[in-house]
Amino acid sequence: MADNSMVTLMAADHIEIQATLQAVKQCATLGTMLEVLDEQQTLGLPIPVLEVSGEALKKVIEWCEYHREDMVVETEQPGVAAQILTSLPQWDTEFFANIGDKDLLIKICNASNFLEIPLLLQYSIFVIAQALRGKSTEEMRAFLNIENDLTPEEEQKIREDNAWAMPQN
Amino acid sequence: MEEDSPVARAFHKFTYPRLRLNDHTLDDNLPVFQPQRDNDRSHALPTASIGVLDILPPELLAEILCQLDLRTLLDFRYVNRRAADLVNYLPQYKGITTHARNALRGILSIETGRWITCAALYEKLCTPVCEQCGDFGGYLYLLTCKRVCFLCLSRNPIYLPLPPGRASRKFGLQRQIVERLPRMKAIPGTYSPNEKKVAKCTLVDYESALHAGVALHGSLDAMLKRVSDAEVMRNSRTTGGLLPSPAFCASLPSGLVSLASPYACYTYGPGLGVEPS
Repeated sequence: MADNSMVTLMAADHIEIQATLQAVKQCATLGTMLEVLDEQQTLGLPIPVLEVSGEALKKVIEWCEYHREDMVVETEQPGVAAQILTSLPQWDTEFFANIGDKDLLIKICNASNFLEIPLLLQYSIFVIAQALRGKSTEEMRAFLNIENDLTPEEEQKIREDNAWAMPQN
Repeated sequence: MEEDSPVARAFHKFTYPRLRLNDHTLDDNLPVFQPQRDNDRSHALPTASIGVLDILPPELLAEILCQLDLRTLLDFRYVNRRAADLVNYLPQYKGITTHARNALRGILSIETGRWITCAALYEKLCTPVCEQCGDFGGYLYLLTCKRVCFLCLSRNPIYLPLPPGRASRKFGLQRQIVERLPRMKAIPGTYSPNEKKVAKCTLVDYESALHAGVALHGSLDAMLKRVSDAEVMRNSRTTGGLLPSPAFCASLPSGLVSLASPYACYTYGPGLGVEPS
């Protein structure tokens, strides 16, 4: 199958999305599946990606189409070993700026983990962290839609346990 | 660990010696550590989720928390019980609070936790190497979180933070640019082997100011020319200058401060061990 032939993906809400094979290969999960399966069996059949919503899958494929020429980064253990990002390339900055909605951003992050796209995963984690940076406790609660279940006594206890860290307050 | 305990003696040859320099670091200017409390849970089991983040698996949450700056990470603990658990059981945070409480406390007390991420601090604590010369770096420069050895710290001007006004004159920067540079709040006290007394003040990072100046004026030469022209203009009106302010560091295990020669110098390499002229 040529790299520029089209593949159909089916998202959770039965939305079908067309993508080039080359872009799909950016997702290690799908790439491996296509390698293992017999071409004759898969040709023309939509690939079910039922774990990902159509909205998120659309954005993920948009990203993959742009980055389809890139070398697929080897999946290595996530975490400290990965080098620390300080900024994103310009196209990716705009890509994430256009997303706007934090729910969608988090879904993309989750989808890139499921589909194994290391670079998109790294970028989306970076963008989520950037969105939280500098926010106060109350702002983070409002932003992430979190309910506070700490009692005032418990909050006080956390503060006391960490009094060593804040000599001034 | 006590230095003369059998364990310490057994591991002696695998570790770096403690030099016991009388170096007057930030550690010496902050109150003595209270013993850490037993690690009992400070709160009941969570009853609420962490909102929209809840769909992410724990390893991705850990990854996001690691990339938060330390100030935000600490504030995140008060969001709710689950958030507090996530931070308290974050391996990097746990490592820092277990082995390098003084580094974290130093960062918080000079208020540089806004731009140092948990991952960055953890990484610096895991390397022994001075970033300038590659020797053993026994100190941590807390303004921008860099490992540094005694010689680089005391001789290299980039580890000598300066008052905002001076940074603006020295690198020809407008006030708005200087306000965006990494800055620290000095804790009054005695610093450096020269026992320099320091009052309460704000200092900005030298290296960041230098880079900002070079970026603004296009090149190092253009910046130096602009600055020396401005200097000539000013000198015709007034004389005198400021003495350098000391740098503040916490170290592992103890910290240091540098007092380079007064930096009435206008020749810089790009931040590498340059002698003042």
